Amino acid sequence: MVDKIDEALLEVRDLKTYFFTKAGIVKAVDGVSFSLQEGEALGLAGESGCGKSITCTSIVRLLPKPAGRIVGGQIIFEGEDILQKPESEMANIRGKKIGMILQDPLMSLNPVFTIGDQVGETFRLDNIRGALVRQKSIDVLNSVKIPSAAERLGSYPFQFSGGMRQRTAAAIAIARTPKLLIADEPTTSLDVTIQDQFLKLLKEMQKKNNMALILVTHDLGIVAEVCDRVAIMYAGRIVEIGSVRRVYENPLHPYTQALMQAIPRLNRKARRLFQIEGEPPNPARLPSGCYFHPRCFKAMDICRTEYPPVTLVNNDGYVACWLMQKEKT
Amino acid sequence: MEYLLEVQNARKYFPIYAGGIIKRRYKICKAVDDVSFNVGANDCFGIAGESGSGKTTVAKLILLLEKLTSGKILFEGKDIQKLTPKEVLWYRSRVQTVFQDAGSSLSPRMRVIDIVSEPLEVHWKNGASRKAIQEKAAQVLNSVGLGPNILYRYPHELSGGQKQRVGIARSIVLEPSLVILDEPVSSLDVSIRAQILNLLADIQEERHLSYIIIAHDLAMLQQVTTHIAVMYLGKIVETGETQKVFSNPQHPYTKALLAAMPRPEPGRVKTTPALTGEIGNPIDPPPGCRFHPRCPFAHEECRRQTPSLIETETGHSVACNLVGVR
Repeated sequence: MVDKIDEALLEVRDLKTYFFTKAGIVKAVDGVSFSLQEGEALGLAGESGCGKSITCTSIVRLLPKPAGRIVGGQIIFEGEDILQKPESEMANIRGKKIGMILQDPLMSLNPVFTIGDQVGETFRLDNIRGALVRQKSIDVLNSVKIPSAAERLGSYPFQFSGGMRQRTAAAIAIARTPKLLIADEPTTSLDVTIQDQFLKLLKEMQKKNNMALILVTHDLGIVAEVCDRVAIMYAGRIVEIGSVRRVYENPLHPYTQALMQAIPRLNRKARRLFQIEGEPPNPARLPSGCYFHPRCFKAMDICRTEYPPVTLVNNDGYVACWLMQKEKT
Repeated sequence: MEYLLEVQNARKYFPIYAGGIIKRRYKICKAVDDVSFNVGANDCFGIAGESGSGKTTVAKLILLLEKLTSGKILFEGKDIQKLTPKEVLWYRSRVQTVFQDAGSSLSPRMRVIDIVSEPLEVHWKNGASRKAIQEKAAQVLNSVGLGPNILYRYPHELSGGQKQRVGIARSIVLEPSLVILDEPVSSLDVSIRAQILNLLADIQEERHLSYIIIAHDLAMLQQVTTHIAVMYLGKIVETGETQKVFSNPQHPYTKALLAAMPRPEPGRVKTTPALTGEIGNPIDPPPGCRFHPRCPFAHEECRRQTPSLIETETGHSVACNLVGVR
């Protein structure tokens, strides 16, 4: 089930997060397994509603209550199952061990506190007081390349541009040098050139602190630029995981193959794009068998009745597809 | 050659209140500054640029949603600012638009069929029966891939892709000759994006209309457009036939944009240096070339001299002080 076992920093085993709503049970995440080494960057990619963000909020246990619940699986972080920990210990893990950057910095920064207050708060949590807080805040803002950081401590978020806000959010996330950084669509609200700057910064910070990174995105271009490995999710499950190079150059799951072909690319002449028919399924009403079979052009009889088991790909991740099982036998 | 739409030296300045009670003071926001381009019949014209580059204001000017400060926009040779109210009605049936966020551009209280019928009710003045109108709407909805089971639904019951299809159906129901699409696919998922772009290509082939597509995704524009203009702070910095612009980009900004775009190519080495800084403020644009504070090649002349578009090859023009000098 798990693609790499030896001493992973984070290991998610068969994670199941369901939402109990009036309309029924929504299986947002339904049996997700992956592992992450120290200093490694994993991309979680997929279309909206595939469960990539819920996987991340499950890891930090910040699910919307009471509807969202983790009903099964384990999340082993530094050798301990964090699902078993009491909330008080969890509060110490969030921010200190696991940092998080969210999509919209206007939502994650408090509009009525200054940048200095908000960056300094992270240090005060570590019982640092006085002038040292200020000095450390300036240092961390410098490290995310906020120009003239010392004067900017008194500014409010609305006085910052989008790119600067997101860099401030990143500064808060890395201030306590976490082992793992989760970035959920961090550049969706930014322009291309600003996105480019931010991704570069993200990689730099990751290298410097030997930080592991989970990058959630729908943009396979961003994954290729930042990540070492990629997990492609569809309807609450990982359909394919592996090194970025292998998955991009030799995608094995029909969904991954279709996604790769559907992206508009520069220097391709054809006016028509390859298109995947249909739409992603409603997670409250999943199809039988493999969730992708209604849209899959290679679907076989067995795909309609049973969800495929995973097939390991020579030491490089796994694929959940019946076609791979058939090839093996 | 007669163009369908000609934009000539279009300028749009917005006054921004800058204080003062008795004597009000204003600053001028130069959202669109001296923009010219032509769209021919059956063309697909792309406008690219970052936020704040003025691309949406250009669309609003063409749609008569904003008044030009100076310059001219000609549609089929007619100056659209001098149209009589009756002609404006005619113009609006010839030029239609599709908005970025399909969800918020559809009335939540109207059913799909009514949304698509509404333009017909306004413009079909020859006493068409309700039945004829609804038949026409259903037929157009069918042509964008929405079957009879969708007709009587409300927008909230539709998926993002279906909503965008309704928006497209509404824009083509009057059989316009020009459709302006402002970021038509940026809110959609990859697999749905391809469906919508292919649908737009099919519609164009069938109905021989022209598109103006406004977007920031260069790869998408490269694949679907025939002509393109790259805008920066209210000015066109590079324009021409899409293939020429992309195979031989001349302006440092176009080059940087192309380099900054994340591509699904693992291990790609970037040769063009990344841009530093952020897009300037159109209220107080930098003097000379507006791109010079971010340009790695800027020299003294760029701070003073505003470059104008110079044709570097047939059907490819660039506005840069460094191009054409050598």
